[in-house]
Amino acid sequence: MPIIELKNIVKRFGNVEALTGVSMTVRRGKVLGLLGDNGAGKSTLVKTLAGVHASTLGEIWVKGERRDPWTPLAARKAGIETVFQDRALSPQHSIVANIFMGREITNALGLVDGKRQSEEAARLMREIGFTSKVFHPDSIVGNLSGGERQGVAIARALLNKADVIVLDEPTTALSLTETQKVFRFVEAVKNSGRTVIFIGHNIYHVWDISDRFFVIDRGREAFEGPKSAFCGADHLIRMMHELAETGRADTGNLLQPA
Amino acid sequence: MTDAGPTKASNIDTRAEQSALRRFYGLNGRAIVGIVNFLAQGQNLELREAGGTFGNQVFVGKWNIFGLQVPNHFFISLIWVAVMYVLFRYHRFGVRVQIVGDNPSSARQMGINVERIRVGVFVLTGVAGALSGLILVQTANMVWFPLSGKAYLLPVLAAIFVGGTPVWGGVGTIIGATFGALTIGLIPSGAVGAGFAGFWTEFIFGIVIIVTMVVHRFSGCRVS
Repeated sequence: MPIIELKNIVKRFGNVEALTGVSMTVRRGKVLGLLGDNGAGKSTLVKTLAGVHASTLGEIWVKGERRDPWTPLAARKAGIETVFQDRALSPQHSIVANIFMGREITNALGLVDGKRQSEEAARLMREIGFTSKVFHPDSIVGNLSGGERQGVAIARALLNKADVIVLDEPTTALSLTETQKVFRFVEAVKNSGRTVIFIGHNIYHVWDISDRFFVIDRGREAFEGPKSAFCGADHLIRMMHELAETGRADTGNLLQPA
Repeated sequence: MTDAGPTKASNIDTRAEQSALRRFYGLNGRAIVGIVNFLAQGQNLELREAGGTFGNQVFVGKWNIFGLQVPNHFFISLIWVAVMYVLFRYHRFGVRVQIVGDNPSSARQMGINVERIRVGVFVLTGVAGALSGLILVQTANMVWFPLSGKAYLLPVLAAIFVGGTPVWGGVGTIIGATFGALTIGLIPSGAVGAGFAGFWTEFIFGIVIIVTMVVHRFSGCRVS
């Protein structure tokens, strides 16, 4: 049974149709690479999946159940954690405060259990190999580098033993070494057996990490297929070039959109 | 403090209060002042007979502690500061207030109900304002006049900035704000003691606000 099924998702912003009927299936324990040109609708799809945008039409099924209403809270409860493109961090606060943003560990009176939060944050940071002599759970996020901030966002996504981690462009605007750091975090998440949806426009980055690819173009599904169906990242890039120029690509033995 | 009349400073008051309300609720601050004035029919109200009652004693009664006449509202402020300290620093609500103040869009993406937090903050401010109003009226011979309290906007802003809360928000401490309020509270006495006429205090508040904002700007403590 697929862990997530999006059925015919349409999203309109006023007159603009950002998604014109996308159906996507995500299999458990795999890394799905979501690709597309700028403005293809990747981020809209991710935000719809995270519950930030309500889809205009279409259904969201998680673990075989239709989920409605679909809100950020419902998505988290269903076990889907999203690392947003803008990372959704609070730069003036500590790593702990950022990890527990919106779901603090509290007692019956609503008072925050700082000690447990600190321990839990340290554990999560170790889990993804996000450790350093320079910072600790109480370090201010604004003083960290881009890759380290991404680490905070990824550690936060692991907080509630989520089944699915959605990473929206985690390597954008990062230097080479920083990108390597993020890849180490993502590898750790993948090795823990979780399902990952990895969004990116650098196809080499997505190629290395993914088991399966899903390409969208101008708000609709263009093609999808397992890694074995492509002859390397360059093949995928050629297909995407073709798609950008002609609006369709020779998908050969790949699965055709329905 | 209220004898300053329609100075430049009071114009700034009005604008600051309007922008804060407008930004969050699209409400005009004047509308609220208008409602209050409508309810009071624009007149001064007084309740002389409440003087000396139990309720009056609770708010402004004095305790004789080692020969010092300590008013009850001193203790009320101590309790308020203590409660706010715990709420702001250790309670879920206070923690979320700081997050929303720093980055509301992140807060929203992480499932915090930003509007709820903001409404909560305004309710809290309202309660604090009501409490201060009760004390103010009772220390002023049980007389309320339509503009009472208005002159406190500038000192309050000054107290917050002096207390270490930057204009951009998101960080700050209750203890800092308390000491800021104490510092600002001493300015009128200080100014008069130093030989300035009473109306200079508003001017000094303005200077204090500008200087602290400039210091905040150049202390480079904002990380983003």
